Amino acid sequence: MTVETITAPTSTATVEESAVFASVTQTSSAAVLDTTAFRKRAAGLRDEVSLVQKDVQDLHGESTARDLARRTQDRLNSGVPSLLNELNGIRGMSWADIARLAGVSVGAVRKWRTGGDASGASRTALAQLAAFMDLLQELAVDDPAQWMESPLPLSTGYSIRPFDIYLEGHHLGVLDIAAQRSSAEQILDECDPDWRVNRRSEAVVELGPDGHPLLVQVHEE
Amino acid sequence: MGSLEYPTLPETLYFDRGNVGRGRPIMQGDVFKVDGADVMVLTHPCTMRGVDGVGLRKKLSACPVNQRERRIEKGDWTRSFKAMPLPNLRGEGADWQADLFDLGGIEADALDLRNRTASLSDYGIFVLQQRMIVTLTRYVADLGQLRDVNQKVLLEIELATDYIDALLELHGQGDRHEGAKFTAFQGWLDSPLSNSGDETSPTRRKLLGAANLHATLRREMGSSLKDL
Repeated sequence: MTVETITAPTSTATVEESAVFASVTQTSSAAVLDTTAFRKRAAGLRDEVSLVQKDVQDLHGESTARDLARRTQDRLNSGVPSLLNELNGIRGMSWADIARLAGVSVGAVRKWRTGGDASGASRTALAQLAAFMDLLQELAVDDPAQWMESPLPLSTGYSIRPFDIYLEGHHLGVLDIAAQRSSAEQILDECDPDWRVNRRSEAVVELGPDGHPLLVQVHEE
Repeated sequence: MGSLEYPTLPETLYFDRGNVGRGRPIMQGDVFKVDGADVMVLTHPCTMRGVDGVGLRKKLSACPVNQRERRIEKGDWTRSFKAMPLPNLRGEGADWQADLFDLGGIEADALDLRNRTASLSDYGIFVLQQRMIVTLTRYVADLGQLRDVNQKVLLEIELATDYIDALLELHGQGDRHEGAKFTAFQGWLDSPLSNSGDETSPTRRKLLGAANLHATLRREMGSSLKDL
């Protein structure tokens, strides 16, 4: 509703101008005076928006999940060696993270590079990761592999990476963080309500006197 | 404060078991057969080598590795800490453990890559470190923080493994510690990025310290391996 500044007509105003002024000021005055009705109307609109927002959020989540599933299916057409070359050689993901996702030893994954036997579940996990990287790239994440392994911007005492959340199966949450639709805290609250207690560390990484990193206890002031 | 890690997928503790590839430099958590007994190397990778970054120090910390009488259960991970459980260490079904309270030393010369029977993954190393710390100090370190403080050296070892593996394919096996190939890798590390076009640019080794460039370094290795 637009609130206009109403100027009272002068003594030279026409009858028509006076009538318009009277009707507008009467309507505005009624609305302003009837603040209860106005508040209720706004509350109703807010509730409607909230319901629609939830529906849209669910719709977006479902469509993203389907898109990821379709892309994963496409990627399964690539052989495991090709997927591994893309994930490590081209994207720059670590063998350790790839193996952790596939649920096998690093040695097993490295053997797959030359055609070793990967289970269906492992092949799907690799294909899904490759498809996920494509989605991140489309969300304007410049270097998806680096982004996935870099700690999220959380307060001191927490070292959680997007990959850690992905590993726990919360793929859509990671995409929401990348798209800046949700903060890391919001997604972690959904995934693990106790994360603030369970994942807190009392130490930070600093450079040691020998030039190598060191874990140092944080002292609360 | 966190709790002791319980690995739900034991397989992910290992880099490899059985015939561990010679490309991987000797690392913390490696299990060797020495004079008929099994031992685990415990020295941190930042301190196990001399100034050249290749040759091992004369003596390393180690502990015995023994077969368990009963299978590993969740409580062995979460409520007990004087050992590092090693599920199905030999791939034959039996569980083993490294007895962390029984610390000792071992001559580096006694370690031969041909006798390495297992190597831990990055994740396995973090779990080992967490358990070593709690055994010695009763402090439970967070795995995420252990990852942060170790990521530089672990990336170096990861890149070294890729490089040395490629050299092994080209030239075959070398000495007991593959020293020459590791030295060649150090040469790669001490060179600038391949597209820098400038010898005064930071070396790849310098970039190891920049956590936001680790994916870049892996891509760089992928590219370099094609040119070997």
